[in-house]
Amino acid sequence: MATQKVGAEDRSAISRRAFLSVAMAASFLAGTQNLFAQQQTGSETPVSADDLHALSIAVIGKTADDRPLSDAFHKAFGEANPSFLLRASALSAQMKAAGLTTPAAFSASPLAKDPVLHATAIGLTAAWYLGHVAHDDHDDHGGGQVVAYEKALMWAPTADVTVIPSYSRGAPNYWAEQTAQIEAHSKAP
Amino acid sequence: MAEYDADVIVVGSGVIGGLAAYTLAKAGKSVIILEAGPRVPRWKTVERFRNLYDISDYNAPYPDLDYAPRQGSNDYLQHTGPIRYGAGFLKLVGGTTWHWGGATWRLLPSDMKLKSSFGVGRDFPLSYEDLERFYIEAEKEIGVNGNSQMDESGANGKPFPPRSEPYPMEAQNFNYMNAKMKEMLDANGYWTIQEPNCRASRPYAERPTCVGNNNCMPICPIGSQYSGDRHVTRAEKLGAKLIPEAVVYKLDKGAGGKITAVHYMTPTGESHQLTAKIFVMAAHALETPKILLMSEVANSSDQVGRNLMDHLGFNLVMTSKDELWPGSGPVQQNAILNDRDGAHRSHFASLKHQVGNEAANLAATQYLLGQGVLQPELDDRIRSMSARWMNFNTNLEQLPDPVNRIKLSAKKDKLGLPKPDVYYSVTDYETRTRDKVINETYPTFQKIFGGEIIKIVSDWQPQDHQIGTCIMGDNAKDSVVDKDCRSWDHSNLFIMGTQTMPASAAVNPTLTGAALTLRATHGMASEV
Ligand SMILES: Cc1cc2nc3c(=O)[nH]c(=O)nc-3n(C[C@H](O)[C@H](O)[C@H](O)COP(=O)(O)OP(=O)(O)OC[C@H]3O[C@@H](n4cnc5c(N)ncnc54)[C@H](O)[C@@H]3O)c2cc1C
Ligand code: SF4
Repeated sequence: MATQKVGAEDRSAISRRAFLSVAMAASFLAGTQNLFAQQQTGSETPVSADDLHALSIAVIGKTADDRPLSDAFHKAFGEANPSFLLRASALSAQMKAAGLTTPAAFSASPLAKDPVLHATAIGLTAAWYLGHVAHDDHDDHGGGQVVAYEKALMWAPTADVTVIPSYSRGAPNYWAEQTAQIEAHSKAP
Repeated sequence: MAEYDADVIVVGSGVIGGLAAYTLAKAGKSVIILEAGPRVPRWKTVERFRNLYDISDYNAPYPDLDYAPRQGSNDYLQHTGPIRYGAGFLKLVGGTTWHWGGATWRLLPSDMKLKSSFGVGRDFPLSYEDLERFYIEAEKEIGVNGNSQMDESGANGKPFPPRSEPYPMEAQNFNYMNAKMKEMLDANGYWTIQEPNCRASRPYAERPTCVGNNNCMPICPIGSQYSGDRHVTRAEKLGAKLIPEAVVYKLDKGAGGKITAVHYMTPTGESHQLTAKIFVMAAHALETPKILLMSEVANSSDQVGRNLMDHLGFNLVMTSKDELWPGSGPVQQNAILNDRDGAHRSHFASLKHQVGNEAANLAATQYLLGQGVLQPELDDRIRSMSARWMNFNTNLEQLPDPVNRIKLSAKKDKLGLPKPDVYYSVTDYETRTRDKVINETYPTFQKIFGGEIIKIVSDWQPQDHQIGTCIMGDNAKDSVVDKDCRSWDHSNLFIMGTQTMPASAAVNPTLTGAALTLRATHGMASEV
């Protein structure tokens, strides 16, 4: 998929209601980039496609067990942000050495407290959840490569109530008939 | 050979140009429509949207061409005032309503008489009563659903403003968030109005019933929401000729002050000329004055380009204590209009508040990643935050001020035409109103819904509702057109759309632009 760049004017003219979320993403990604710039703790060889698949499952969980998608992220990182694959390689090696294979195990481990390893895990999670890979020399405003829309993991947590924008739940007026469903689960302990 | 190329030439194929062309073609006139942008089928825009890097950029799915730059185009608008004017406009057949929110409000009678009612701004040269039957026609043409029983002045009184017929379609039902919000706001004396809009609540004029894809901005995938291309196609079926990729840059003046010809360029810069008995300018509020200024026409009042207005916007973004679940159904449904009308308008601007209903997954996910949240917590936190996300967006009426204006920049675009230079500013009237909302109203909203404030966005954000720049009036010395949208200087030149409105009110302007257009085209048809 083609790399997309966003022009300078676009950044300020970004749609009025969306601007907030974008601004917040930018600050986190910019922070991550600064951290990476200060501490070049990546490995010397990029993570392999096999290892990125295993690492994705270990950091994100079973929802990231999608080999074709993982390979697509691997390719996109390689093109848009190759240095990320070096950092992912370091994270992968350290998690393997510590025997960490689940998100819960990683979060509870000292590795998750290391700022660079934590930022690497966030970078990988951001790609899977947002469905795209940012250019390494930019924040999220600078564009990057698109990998997935429907399969971006940010949609699944609300899929029983809301739609993936532009897709249909099938019937007119479904939105006015969700009271029982919503109130049932919001009252659940 | 015919004396003229057409009875009427319409410049611009947005909702306004489309409606004008359709009405005139229906009255048996020969019509040519000149449109700067290309024709793009809906499915292509849907595909482009689903393959975007930034799905929250409404403009990105649409063409941005060096011969027809759109909103967000790099270095097109030149900003010279204290506030950046982030104008919203697209250039393709059908125009900017491809990605509008579809809100179709009428003005109130007092909105049209600001000067005589409140001593500020200007009056329209016609009254609400003069426009009412054209509002009815515009609502039928555009296909509007709404609740005819609402008091749209926000005072919780009788149905208002007066209507001679109900809305053509019944209002869509509220989703859970809107229904809950209404209960909670009503209990606190804030009245939630169902926003009239142009989504089909039943099959309407070739449009299918809305199925709640929650993507009205930037593209309704099924064409349930009205967009301007509808009337362009209808005009073509009645014999009108559309010429896309035709960038109009000049009007010629002839004997008796009449406009005699229009010139346009193709994307490669080839120039063509066409003649007609009547010319209609419907290129919206930035490009219309640009063409008039380039042609040195219609400007004896020195008002062309001046009195640029927009709705000034700001936001309260917070989470509610309880799950309200934005994101199911259409992207906007409600409005809180308590401060829309009243004697306070002599000192404070009219206001519309609205809570957006766009799915919050993207915003919530970005926010949480920014906080460093990872799995296994992340999924639950996305769910909880998306279900509680509230984005209050406030639109504020801006008064007409001749200093706010479009001029011709010395910088040129790819075709060698001047880029628009925008000077934009606000006065104490708007600033004092914003401060009151942020200090008094937003804390009340936060109290009603509990939860936490994520951010208050208080810098001015124009809301993509360009208004003014060719305003109507009853004096040729201080306005560009008369109440029939006719240029004071050229009897066969008409300017149509929101750019003729001398007041912005606090509600979305396009239906009023459409009603003024229909009123003018009916009058015009008898002249050709
Ligand atoms: C994100 C967004 C949301 C909006 N939501 C709402 C809403 O909910 N309710 C509402 O009332 N309004 C809304 N608006 C505003 C609304 O879209 C405009 O008021 C409306 O499109 C104006 O119609 P128009 O036909 O005058 O102009 P446009 O729709 O902009 O059409 C003008 C046409 O003229 C063409 N043109 C320009 N220059 C030239 C030239 N030199 N030669 C030939 N053709 C030219 C353009 O290419 C374009 O196709 C929204 C706008 C945006 C950006
Ligand atoms: S909710 Fe969906 S179907 Fe309805 S108008 Fe919006 S995008 Fe179209």
